[in-house]
Amino acid sequence: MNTTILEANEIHKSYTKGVWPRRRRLEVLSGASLRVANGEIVGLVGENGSGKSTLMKVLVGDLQADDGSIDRAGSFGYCPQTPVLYERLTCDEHIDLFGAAHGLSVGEIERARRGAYDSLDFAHFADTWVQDLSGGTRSKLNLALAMLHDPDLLFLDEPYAGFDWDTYLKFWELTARRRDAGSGLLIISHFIVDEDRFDRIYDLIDGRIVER
Amino acid sequence: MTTRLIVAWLREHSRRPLNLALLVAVPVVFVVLSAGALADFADILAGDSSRDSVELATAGWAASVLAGVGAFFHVAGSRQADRRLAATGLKARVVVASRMASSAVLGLLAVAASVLALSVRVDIANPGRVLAATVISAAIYLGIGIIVGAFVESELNGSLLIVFAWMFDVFFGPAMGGTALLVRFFPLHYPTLILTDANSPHAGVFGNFGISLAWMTLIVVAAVASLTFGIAPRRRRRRPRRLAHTAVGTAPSHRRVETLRAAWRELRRMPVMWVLVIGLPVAFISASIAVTPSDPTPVSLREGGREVLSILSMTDVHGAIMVPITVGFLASLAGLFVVLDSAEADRRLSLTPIGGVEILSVRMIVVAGASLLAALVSLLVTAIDFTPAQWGGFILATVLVALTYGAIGVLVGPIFGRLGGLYILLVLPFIDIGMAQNPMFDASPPEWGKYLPSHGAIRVLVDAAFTPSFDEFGATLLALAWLAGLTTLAATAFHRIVTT
Repeated sequence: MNTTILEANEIHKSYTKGVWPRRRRLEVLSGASLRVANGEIVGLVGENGSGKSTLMKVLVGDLQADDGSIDRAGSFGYCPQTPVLYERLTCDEHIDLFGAAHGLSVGEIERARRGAYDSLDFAHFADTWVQDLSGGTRSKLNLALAMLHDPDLLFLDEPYAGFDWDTYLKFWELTARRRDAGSGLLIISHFIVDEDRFDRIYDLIDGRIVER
Repeated sequence: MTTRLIVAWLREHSRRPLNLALLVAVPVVFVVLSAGALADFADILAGDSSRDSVELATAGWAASVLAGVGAFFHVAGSRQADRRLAATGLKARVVVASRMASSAVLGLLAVAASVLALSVRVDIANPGRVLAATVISAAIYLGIGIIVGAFVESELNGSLLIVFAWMFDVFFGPAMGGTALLVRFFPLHYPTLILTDANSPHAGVFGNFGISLAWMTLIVVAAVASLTFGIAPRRRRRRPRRLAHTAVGTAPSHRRVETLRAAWRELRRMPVMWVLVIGLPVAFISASIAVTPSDPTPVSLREGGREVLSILSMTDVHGAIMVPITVGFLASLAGLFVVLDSAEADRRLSLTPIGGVEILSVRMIVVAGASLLAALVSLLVTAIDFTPAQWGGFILATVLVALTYGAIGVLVGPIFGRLGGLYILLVLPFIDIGMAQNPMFDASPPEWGKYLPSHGAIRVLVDAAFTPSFDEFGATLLALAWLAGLTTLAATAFHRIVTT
């Protein structure tokens, strides 16, 4: 039986923009609620600027919500929309750093490294500085770092932007394997063609969430 | 289209209103506060110019450094977008001309603020000449900023290049007595001669104006060529580097070691910064000692618990005070850029179990390490020409300045951003260490100087440099209090940008 590993209730978030007298408040989330259980892939879709990335940042703790509650069980991994990486570190060094940060053993890091390189096919850039990587390879590393420690819950914010077709297909194989192994995945997506890959889909409309 | 681009880019720039405010405020502070002190300094170094005329030159100096740094950020920050714009089919010369023009507007703002501040401070007898020479000075450094912005990717390296080129230009220029053949090739040499209204025996038939205009034309042409080259489509310039792979451990202590190692690697892979951190103290301190006459100067010292006025050699005083000046600049810039360069990725890392506090401690260690390296190099260079009476106290004071200004750099970044922070850090060490605490200007610091961050540390440094016994216990405590306070504030500011 699937158990809930993420439950967010009535999340509110607004931004304050500009300086006085042109200061204004922009409400992005106005009571968004969702739930993710282990062993399922949940999609989060919405128009550009609807607040999907803001919601994901709130869920992982990168942003503070104005109101609402978030209950998260187990470990989690987060893949931000734009690759957030250290420009002058190599792929290997990123894996070492994030692996150590997650408390993996040397053997586990090696296994995670091999798994990431094999599944996303970028081992030949292992010793390349991030500033010298193509956009697609940056995206692969960005995704790999989120999955390194085999988390119970994965937050993926449009993770396949910049992937070629082969990598895109590999990405979905990877997520299916994670789901089958019991992880829960929350994926922000634009593509309507991905619909059948999700177990459930949430639409973010006017700051609130509606389940399809 | 050109007008539309200029308006769009200036609009983009003005959306950080703090940057524009600082672009105006910094030259005002620089000219109003430092003109008198720089004139005194020029007098000490036996400059050819009169005291009043050196004050006039400060407008050109302020406008030039502000224009240079502003243009660097304006160009470096938009290089990719400009290339993309040029790739749309828009003629490259339209993009280049628009970028030159929008940079020029920023330069003119700096000129206007500088000349206005000067007019408040002194009566300008020949405003046309002063305005023209200030515009030429600003245009020359504007061009240098654009050239550096077109080629240098790191904001830290680019900023350091411009700031230290300017320092050499000003402090070894003709107003400070610089007449050697080499310094005549510095770009501000002839504009400074115009500002100080000095006769130049080496300007030839072209005169100071002619050579200044030639410099300006040459640099502006080079800036246009650099921008054109910068936005042209090209192949990848760098080959991937092969690096040794190292495995890591897992215990919390190993986790911190791995974080520290990664931070160190990032810093190590900025070769230009290392050249500057090591090379600039060598050049700057040695040259300062070499050009200073060994005239006597009174300095207030504490010996045996009593204040005494000692007459010391100007060369020794300059040699001693150049150490904290150089260290203060380098440490504050290292603090600013080490933290801002890695803030986004550190924020992501803080979402792992490693947490923000551990990342904070590692970043602070890296900033302290870079600051201490600048201190070490400066001390080694100074040791060649000057031997302080107490090495221990001298090293202690230098380390205190390094760490204090490293913390200031960390603190300024999150509050003012890159460009705003850099403007602040151009002025603060200069006014604090270079002017207020500098015994070359006054035997003891002015009243207002006692409230600035380096006051305690510089009292310790002066005591250690020139007296055989250590007497500045109160000043040591004051310096430690400043260091503790600023480090706490810096840590809080860094923690906020990484974890909230």
